[in-house]
Amino acid sequence: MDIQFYQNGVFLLIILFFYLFSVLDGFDFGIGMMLPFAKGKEDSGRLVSHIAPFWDGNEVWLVIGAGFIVGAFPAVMGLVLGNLYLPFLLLIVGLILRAMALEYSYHDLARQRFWHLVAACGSYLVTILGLFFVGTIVQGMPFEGKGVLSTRPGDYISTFPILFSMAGLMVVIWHGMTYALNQDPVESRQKGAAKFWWVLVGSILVLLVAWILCLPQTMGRPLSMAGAGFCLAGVIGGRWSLSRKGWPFRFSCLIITGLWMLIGTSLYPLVLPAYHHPEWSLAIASAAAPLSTLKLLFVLGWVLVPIIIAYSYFMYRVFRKGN
Amino acid sequence: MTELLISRMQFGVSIGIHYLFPITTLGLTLFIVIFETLYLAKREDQCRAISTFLVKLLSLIFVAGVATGLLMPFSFGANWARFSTYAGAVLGAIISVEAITAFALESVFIAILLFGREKVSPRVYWISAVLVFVGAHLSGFWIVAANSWLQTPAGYVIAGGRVELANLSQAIFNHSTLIRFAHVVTAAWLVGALLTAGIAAFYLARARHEAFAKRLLSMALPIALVAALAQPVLGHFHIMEVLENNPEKDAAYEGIFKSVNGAPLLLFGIPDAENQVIHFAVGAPYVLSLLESGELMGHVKGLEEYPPESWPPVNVIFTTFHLMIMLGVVMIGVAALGVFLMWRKKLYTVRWYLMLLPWLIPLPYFANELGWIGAEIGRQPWIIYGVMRTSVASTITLPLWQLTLSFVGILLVYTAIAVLTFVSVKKLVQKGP
Repeated sequence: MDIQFYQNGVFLLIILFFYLFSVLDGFDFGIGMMLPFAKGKEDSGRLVSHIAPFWDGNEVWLVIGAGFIVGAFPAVMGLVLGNLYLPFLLLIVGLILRAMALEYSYHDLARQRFWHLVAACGSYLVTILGLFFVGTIVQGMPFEGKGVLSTRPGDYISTFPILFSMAGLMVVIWHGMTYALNQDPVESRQKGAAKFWWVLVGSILVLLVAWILCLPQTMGRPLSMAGAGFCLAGVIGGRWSLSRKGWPFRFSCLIITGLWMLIGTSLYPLVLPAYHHPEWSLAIASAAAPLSTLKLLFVLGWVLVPIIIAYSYFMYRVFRKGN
Repeated sequence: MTELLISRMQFGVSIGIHYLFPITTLGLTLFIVIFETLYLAKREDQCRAISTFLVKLLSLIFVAGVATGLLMPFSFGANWARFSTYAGAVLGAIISVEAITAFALESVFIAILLFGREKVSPRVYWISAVLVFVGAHLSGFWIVAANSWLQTPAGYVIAGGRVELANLSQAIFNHSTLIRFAHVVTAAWLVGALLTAGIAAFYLARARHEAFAKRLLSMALPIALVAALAQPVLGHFHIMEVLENNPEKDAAYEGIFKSVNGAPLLLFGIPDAENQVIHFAVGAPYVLSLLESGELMGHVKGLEEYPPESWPPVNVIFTTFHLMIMLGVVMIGVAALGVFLMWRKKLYTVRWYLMLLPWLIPLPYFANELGWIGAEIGRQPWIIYGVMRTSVASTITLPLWQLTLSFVGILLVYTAIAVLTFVSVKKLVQKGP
């Protein structure tokens, strides 16, 4: 096997980690963001009980992804976070608020409403900022030379990341709604989802149009066409299956799968594209760590991911009827 | 320079507060596994009640550990970009191994402990407790391995201006990993033992939950004694390793400025690095030479043998090192007295001792922190000993105002988490099992 095989294999693993994080922790954030709109204490308590045993294990994929980025592409994290430092810290604060608030919402029952609102704030912060980061990376960073990024905050605000963040936010809320529907298929939730579905339709259309207009070069590839197709199929399937237990959530997973296919194909073969100046882009091949580390991460990832998925699946079986 | 200092302070504060939670997790999971095993073997309901109560404590501690730990892997990139770019191939590899083999295991199976008592069989519950214990300790192992690689780097080559992993097992099992892991784990068990002993004594002194508390205290004190007695032994082997691999750090720990034959083991003193002297030094003559070379008149190298620009900050690390040892001696005394009272069957009647124990819960936490401050400040001026200096490791693009804002923010958020956790644990203990 040549070095390129391992570079691509580890790149794919990192995409896989963030994909798993979006699909799994995504519904936790979606539920978190629904909390302010829950009908009374009982409803919000039920919503949290759907995710209580899972959110912590789901968040692990983010930490694994972070470790792999430092190991496999050592310069990348410094470039991105060193230049978007305050948004990054705000995102971390969001993760912290979400974690603490979920725990205390079932520990400190006297202030449950307060903790639910804190969990919601944390979930919004993480989702909006996290998607903004992904959108920024997909569109390209404002490089001013090889390995040098602009230090003007204004250069980091542009149309695509903002649209990506807003549309993605709606997808994550939809993901949470369909997950709640899966756990608790009551009529009021179905009605709510049926109304929100129109927001989802608008968001996905805006997102795909923005992708075509802002990043036309990515749309010609078969994988990205398939990704866009998955998004549309997931949206339509979600509405069609709204009254069938389990299916809206599966179709929602399909939307997120499609989005990550689009993200992956937009990036490849780059790991950090440069906006306006393609020649300064950081390619997978040039940013990757030496072969010894890549081999280690490659084996580690492809062997252990199925094992983690297996025991996580066991956990979902144990708690499949709520807790 | 100010930028570097703020990044160091932020890392120190965040990891210093974070560290309180994982060591408590290690200590608590030890006791949870012990009592779950007893419950599984003997079906003793008291053991199940104790484990259930400790799991409630663990849930508060664990979430605080997760919340404060999320920043850590990202901060290598955000605040230490030149360091992670240079050494990511080794350091990032080890933290990836940590996340994927250990953190995942404990984070998933802790759900069974917290929510699954009625959903799984006692055997599966026991297996989950063991897996959380293993995951937590494995996680500790990888983190200590990563840090030890910074202290005694091995298994790497430098190629193309950056570190390249040459031999994974040498990098992981570098010269200091195993001894430091043993030192850290037993110190964490000491935390768990004195925490549970303090809680049990709190109940006994107030004549509450007496059967529960007696069972817990009679388990905690012997473990506390073993863990406390292990510290000077493991500490000695660790310091011998430091002497071999980081000699100037060892000289600073022991407060030896001038090379000498027949060096005393200093027990107390006020260090003064500027004048190269330890004021009010109280020491045991010849003992340091004896410990380090096996001979009373053995030669001990002083700091004067090394260029001053590679000295660690002597005053800080001499002081933290000796305070840690003093606390260790106090804890041995406390645990030994408890075990003695147990042996004479007087433990539950000596009220002052029971009243004292809860106040001693902070001691192992202080000792742990002091030990780490010594280890990390003692590595200075290096971020990777002998390979990369801390002064060239930080991110250069971060402006001072952003760093200041983030430091203040992190300080506030982390302090709030620590206070909230402390108050909630205290409330839970007062409420009782």
